[in-house]
This record gives sequence, C-alpha cells and structure tokens, in this order.
Amino acid sequence: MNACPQLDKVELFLDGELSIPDADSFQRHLDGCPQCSEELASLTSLRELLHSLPAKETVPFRTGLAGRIDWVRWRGSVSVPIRIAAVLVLGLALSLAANLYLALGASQGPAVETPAGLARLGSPLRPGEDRVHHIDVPVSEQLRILGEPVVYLYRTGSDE
Amino acid sequence: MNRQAFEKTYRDHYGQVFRYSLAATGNADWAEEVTAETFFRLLRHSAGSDRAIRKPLAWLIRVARNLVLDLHKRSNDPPEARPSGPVHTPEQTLLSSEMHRRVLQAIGELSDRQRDCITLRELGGLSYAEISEALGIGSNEVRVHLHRARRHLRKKLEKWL
Repeated sequence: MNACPQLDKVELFLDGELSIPDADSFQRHLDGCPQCSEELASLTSLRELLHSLPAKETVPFRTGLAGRIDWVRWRGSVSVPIRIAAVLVLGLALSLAANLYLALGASQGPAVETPAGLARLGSPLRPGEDRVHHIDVPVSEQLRILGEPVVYLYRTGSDE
Repeated sequence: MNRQAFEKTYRDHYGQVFRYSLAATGNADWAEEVTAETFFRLLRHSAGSDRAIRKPLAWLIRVARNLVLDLHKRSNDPPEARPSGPVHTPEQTLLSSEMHRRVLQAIGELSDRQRDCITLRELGGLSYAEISEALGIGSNEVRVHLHRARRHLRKKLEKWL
C-alpha cells in the first residue's frame, strides 16, 4: 500500500501547528483515511504515555515554597518613608560598625568566610547537595534592595 | 504578576514543570530541585514586577530547561553518562512503574536535540515557534527532531502503545 501523501501532516495536526482552515480540511481527510487515522491514534497514545509520567502532586504553596522563604516583600508593599528610614538606620549602623572595626584594628580576627553550604540565590543545586538554602545578602545588596521595590531576600531551611 | 496570580500559576503548573524536568533529567530528585528553583525564579521575578507574563507555562519551561542544562554542566558526568538507564533515585515509589522507567530510558536514548524538542513539546506544551526560539534552531528543524524522536519512542515503547 502506498503511503498517504498527507501522512506527514498528522504530527502537525496533533501539535496544533496547522492553520484553522488546513486543520479543518485535514480533519475531513482523516475521516476517510485509515492510514492517517491510525497514525494519529498511535501518536496520541504516545502522548498519553508521556503524560502518564508522574507529576508530583502540587505542594500547597503556603506549606511548600512559602515555607522555605523567610519573607518576600512584594512590589510597592514598603512605603518610601520607611525605605528612607531603613537606609538611614542602616547607614548609621554601618558607620558605627566601621568605626568600631577601625578602633579594634583591622588586622585582628580571621576573615569572615561564607559558611559551608551557603548557596547564592538562583544557583541550582547539584545532585546530592544539601537542600538547605540560605541566601547571604551583602550589605551593598541590602542597600540596593531597600532603594528598590524589588525584594527577595532569604530562603532558608528544607521542606523535608 | 501579583501574589494571587503567582500562587495560581504555582498551583496550575507545578505538576507540569515537574514532569518536564523529570523527562529532561531522568531523575526524580533533580526534577524536584529544578521545579523548586524554577518557581523561586518566578517568585523573584513576580515580586519585582507588575508586568504579567504572557505565557507563564512557556516561561517556566524555558527557565526549567536552562536549569537542567546548568545541572548537567555542573555535574561531572559526561553527557552519555546521564541517568538515561534505569533511574536511580531514593524516590523509588515515584518511579515504581516499569513502564515509567522505560519511558525515561527511551527519552534518555534520544539525541540532545531530539530530547529537547520532544520534552518541550509534549511535556512543556511549547509550540514549534517557542521551541525554535528556545533552542535557536529553525521550525523545520524542530519538526524533523520531533518526528525522529517520536519514531524512536514509538519503537521502544511499542509494548505500551
């Protein structure tokens, strides 16, 4: 039996890639073409098989993703006066800390190292990596964040 | 995207992003991490912008794909050593079915391009144009890769079709 010349349209039809008039026309063709109908049935079965792969049940947001985030401040949720006040307080604190640091001597004490296991925001985990996250936000970043409505600071802990 | 819209997107698409990630990595643990990270990125994006994402699923799938690529780059396994054989994961219950293991194995046997195309299309729901854009290849090429991928999968998974 010769292959139906329209057989190559089956995948396009299944994928919704035909224009509406072409799809209508092909639908009519399918009604009278066992070869194309069989191909479509086979491709549809494959699609159903792929869709049968387990899709983990959605973890409720508030106990799942939200449970792993300390806080998220949404755009516009912080008023300008509070931001200004926060920047002033932070600036004062930094100034005091810098003076204290200079008074004690910069060479004293070991350099602060990033604790083991800290991950930068957005870095994907490697296989076997601990699922505990902590995003260390440097002061400059905190200032930037306070000055902008974009805030996403910490996520901690595992949801296990 | 406001908080409500974000939560709806999370509820609506979590399962789909996970399934895509599972097929793309062949590993349930990796899929879980990729899915979580993908939604973290959506959250970060959403918190900083009022602009709606026109096609949230396509956006999520593109992010997930980049994370999968990153994951493979960071892992020391050469590409052919990806978990394309039987899936090794503590979440055995998730993949307890022989059929699902075979599906993942068959997907793992595809070329990178074929795997990308079939997972983005069938599990990510992306159109040819979106796949073309995501992979930087032409629509015709997408069509050819999809055709070959389907031919391979149908042959390997005949028993379940």
